[in-house]
Amino acid sequence: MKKISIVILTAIFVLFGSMTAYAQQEYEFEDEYYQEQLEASVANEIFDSLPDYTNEMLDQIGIDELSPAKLLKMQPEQVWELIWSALMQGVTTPIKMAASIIAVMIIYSIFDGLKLSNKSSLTPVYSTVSALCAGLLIIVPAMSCFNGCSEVMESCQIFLTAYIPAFVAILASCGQPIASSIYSVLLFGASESICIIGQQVVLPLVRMFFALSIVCVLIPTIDFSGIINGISKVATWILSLCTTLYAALLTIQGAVGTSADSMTLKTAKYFASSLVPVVGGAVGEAMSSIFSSMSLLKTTTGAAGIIICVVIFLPQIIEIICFKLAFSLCSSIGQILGADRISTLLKSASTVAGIMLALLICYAMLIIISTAIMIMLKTS
Amino acid sequence: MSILSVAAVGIISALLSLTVKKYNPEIAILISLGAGTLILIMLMDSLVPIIQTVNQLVDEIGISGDYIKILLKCLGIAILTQFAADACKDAGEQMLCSQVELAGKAAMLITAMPLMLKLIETALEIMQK
Repeated sequence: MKKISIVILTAIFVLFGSMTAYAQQEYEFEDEYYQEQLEASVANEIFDSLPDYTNEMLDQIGIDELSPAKLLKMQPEQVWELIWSALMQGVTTPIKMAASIIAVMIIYSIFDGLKLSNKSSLTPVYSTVSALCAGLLIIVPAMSCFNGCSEVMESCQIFLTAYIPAFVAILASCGQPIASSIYSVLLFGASESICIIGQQVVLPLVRMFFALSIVCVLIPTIDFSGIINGISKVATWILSLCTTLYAALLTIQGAVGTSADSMTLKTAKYFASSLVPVVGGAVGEAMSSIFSSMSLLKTTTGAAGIIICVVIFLPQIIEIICFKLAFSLCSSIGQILGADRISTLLKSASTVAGIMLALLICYAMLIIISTAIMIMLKTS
Repeated sequence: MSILSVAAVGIISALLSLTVKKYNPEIAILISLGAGTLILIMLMDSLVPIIQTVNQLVDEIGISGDYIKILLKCLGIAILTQFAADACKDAGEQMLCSQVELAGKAAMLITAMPLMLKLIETALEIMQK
């Protein structure tokens, strides 16, 4: 009886009397040295170069300064909420546009279904009027979205103007002066080139052909969809090739540059250890520890740069994807309802949206890949 | 609109028209026209809910209903023109049929003229940017 009572008491104690233990939640990375270096690098000023909507979105995920603790505290739910709110904002206009185009196609299908004789000579005229109506419903929201791409690219360019010097300075202070100069030259050059090509060549060309293809619904014999498809294929190939070449070049030069940096560091350490009497070894070790502690600032700034880049591009990319989906969906519905001319027009619009999407993704990937390579390259 | 009544009107008027045609072709044409008009009116009744649904959709999504109104006007013109053209064709007046169709096309294009102008204007604005 005594044993049973002991067992019961032990069980009660184990089940109800135990205390819950949690892992430590707060990360104490922000030591005095880190803060000093952060202030000296003026890296926090990159937030001033961002557009208001980007700063609001960053606040939503709790990133308002370059702090490793804040980066580590970022929760998947916050990221999901950010994506969800961007989706909700981006999906409204495409849905409205799709609904209005579907309404036009329903009216067209009523006419098509109600035609009183088999060979109605009114069909081409009514088809033109419907396509005109659909064209007008497409052209304004689609062009506003494509112009938004140009604005996003400009915003990113402004951000890079503030970010690259700050990140390069941190990289150099981490003992990677050669790698940092390669990063600076290549990323500045590539971002500038892609921005100029996008804004001065691709966007006007796409805008012109898109406007022409919409106007050409008035003349059914002229079809611009082939030219738009051709531009889309060429643009996608060129962008893919350039991104691959850029990534390869940055990786090779970055790796070589980092090796050269390592050699310089080791030489400096050797000279410090051998030439400075008595405390030479300590000076060399101090150098190593300073570079190691600076790597936290480098990783934080790099990771924040990647997150900021994603946040800048995310709303526009989501909006374009929604537009592309809306165009494709309406085009399929048009084919089902027999509205061939509207369907062709929507296919052209979908291809144009694809070109803009490829351009934006390429630009974003360029920055993300470059920064990620620089974060990963470390001097030994 | 009940499809039964439409079918009944169609069959009865066709039989009547065939019977009368031998003795008085003019009356046969009148019977066909009358039956056609009756069916068209019944058809319009059934089109009203579809058009109301489209209008409701346009109101709910908050887009400008002007374009849809023009499209619906063109739909009305097309149906009436086709009906008149078919009636002329039945009466053996091929030339009148073509004229009616031409008038219908012109009416549709005139109705859609604001759309054309707006589209060209917007396209020019975009290309000039």
